[in-house]
Amino acid sequence: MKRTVHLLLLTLSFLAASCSAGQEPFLPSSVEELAGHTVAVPEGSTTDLFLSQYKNIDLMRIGLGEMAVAVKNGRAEFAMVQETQFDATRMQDKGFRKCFSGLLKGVAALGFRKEDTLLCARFNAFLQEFIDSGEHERWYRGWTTNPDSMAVAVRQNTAPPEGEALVVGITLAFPFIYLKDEELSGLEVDMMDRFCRQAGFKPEYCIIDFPAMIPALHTHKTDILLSHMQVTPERAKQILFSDPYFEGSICCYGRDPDAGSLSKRSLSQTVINSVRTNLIEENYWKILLGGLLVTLEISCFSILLSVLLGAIFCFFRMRRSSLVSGFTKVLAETVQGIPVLVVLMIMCYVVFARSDISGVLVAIFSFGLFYGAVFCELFRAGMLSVDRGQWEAGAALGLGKFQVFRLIAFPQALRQIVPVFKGDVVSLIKSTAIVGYVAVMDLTNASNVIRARTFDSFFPLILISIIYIILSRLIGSALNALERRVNMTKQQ
Amino acid sequence: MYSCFLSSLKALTAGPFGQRIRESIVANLITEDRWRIMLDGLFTTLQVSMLSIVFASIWGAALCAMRMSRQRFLHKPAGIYVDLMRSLPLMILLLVSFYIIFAATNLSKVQIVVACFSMYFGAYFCEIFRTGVEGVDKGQREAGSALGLSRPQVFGRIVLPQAVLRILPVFKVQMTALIKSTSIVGYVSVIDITKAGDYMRARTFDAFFPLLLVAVIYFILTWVFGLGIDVAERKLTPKSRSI
Repeated sequence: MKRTVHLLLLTLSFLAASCSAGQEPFLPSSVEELAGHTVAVPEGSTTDLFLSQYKNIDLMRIGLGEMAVAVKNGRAEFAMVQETQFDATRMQDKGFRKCFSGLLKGVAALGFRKEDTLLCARFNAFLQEFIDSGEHERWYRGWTTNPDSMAVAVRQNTAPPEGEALVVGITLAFPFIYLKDEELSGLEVDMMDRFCRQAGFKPEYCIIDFPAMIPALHTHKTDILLSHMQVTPERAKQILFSDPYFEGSICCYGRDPDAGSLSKRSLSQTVINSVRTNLIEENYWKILLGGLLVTLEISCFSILLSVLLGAIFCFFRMRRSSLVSGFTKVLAETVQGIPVLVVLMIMCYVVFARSDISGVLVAIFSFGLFYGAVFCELFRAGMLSVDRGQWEAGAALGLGKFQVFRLIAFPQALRQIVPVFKGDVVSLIKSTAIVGYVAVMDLTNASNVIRARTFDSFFPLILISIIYIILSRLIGSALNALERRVNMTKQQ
Repeated sequence: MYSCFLSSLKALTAGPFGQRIRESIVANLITEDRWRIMLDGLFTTLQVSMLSIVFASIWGAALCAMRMSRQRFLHKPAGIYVDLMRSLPLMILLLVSFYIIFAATNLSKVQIVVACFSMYFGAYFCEIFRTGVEGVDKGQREAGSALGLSRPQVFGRIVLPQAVLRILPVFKVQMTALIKSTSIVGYVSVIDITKAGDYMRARTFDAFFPLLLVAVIYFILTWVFGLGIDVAERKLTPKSRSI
């Protein structure tokens, strides 16, 4: 307990330690002037492709939502986003300034699979009507000038769409798509909801990283792409674009050196302010709580599954038949030689590519398989540590093979297994932090969502660090109790 | 060179199934010189892994010295540090290093990643080293000082050679874990082999081939590094040295 308190104190002392250095004001006016500077771009976007031609720009490819965070804490000097997005960001946080704009003018449209021409035609018809009625104009102006009141108005005046399920792949980016009061909201979500209401669909929004968008569409993980994707000839070869619903260009922005710095406030004030903006406002704590539950769910079921699989693998591995044991050995070693992240991606994009099971289940299967292989070796080592004479003695006493295992070998093996098992379980829980890669909203990803909205990287990260520390400490002490119990039987 | 490669590829992959494999290889690796991304990614992964192993070992040894010191102000903080690292997910530490600890510094992305991995695995290595050193029988130290050796001499000539043999097998496991865990660096926009596979997938929409390739590369990588440790272990075992 004392240790835990120490850990928490140490983590909190990061609070005091963090203060970012200022940078000399520099205002580029063209892409050429960005040479030698770090520029954040949305990964896989047209901006990314465009700036990749300039070899001397240090590109930082990150998620759309992370851009403002990266600029704010100095990780990137500049960022390039849609002008609309910048204006909205600026509305919320005055600490940014535009450097130049009007780059890469283009139109954005919805993406469909090539064969879904009917769905695309239905959307085009809706869009035509939307534009003709003048609603489009009102919709656009409303969301770009006052997104928050628009969100409230939309929610009050309309019912959620009902009907056939339609999976819509999205990327979070204020004000296009963002979380408000733990519900998705924004310019594009509003348009999609209108379309679905008219066409009789029920949209299921699925948050995906931008580069994974088109593959997700092809592998039937989603039916529609909705993330202000610019229409380009290369993309048009791969997917079917609807008519454009949005026109815009890219601008470059950086930190505004004149904006008031946070360091002027006292520490306690900063903390209180962070708690307010990151947790209480817009009920962000509910997202975190949901993330925590998902993390716990994945952890618990993965532990159960991996212990089960480990026991089964171990059983086969210990068989005398060289074919069966050889096969299990190869399986266990292969799985262990690959990073758990790659196992997760293989499960998501290859094994379960065509089935529509949830990301949480995919994660549970991946961790179950990976740690099953780890536990297989662990259990085997434990079983082998039991002296052969013990089995023979059991058999001499007239016990059956299973009885010898249950009464004699297993309790002895357990004593060897539990100390290592403890460490592995904690590392399983910790490694679940990567599931955000396959679009699961766990604790880590929940904090990313909040960061994308509040542009504060510090507080959410420290908060989830503390949660993870407490979690692994709790599990650790629970397993310590188990270890004590196992050792108790030894004393008796 | 290409035509030579292509013709040998054709010869190797005859038959209808072979043709599918050939198409996969051509689409994923050869078109638009995509193998270059993979090679760059592999290089980054190797760079991050090797630098991290070296720095984590150094940092781990320093931490181990601190933890085993009799001074309270040395071994207490080291103990807390090790506990902290062992209860934080690596992913979170990576994000914290990237966005908080090293946010305002001029370090490159790869440098930050190496620093983060060294911080994290230093704690694990510290524990490995400590168990190894503590596993050496106390009598050995006593015998050493009875022979008139100074404390550093006892450590260097008697304790360390015995401890290293105990450390190496566990070190191999942790090192493999380190190499594998470098796969998450794509999260902070470092293009390693996993991310390169992602890019390839995003271009070709072939999920199977790039992932399989990445998996095989990791497998070979961990195997080769493990082999290195095995060789070191064999060389350091006194029995084999006398032969």
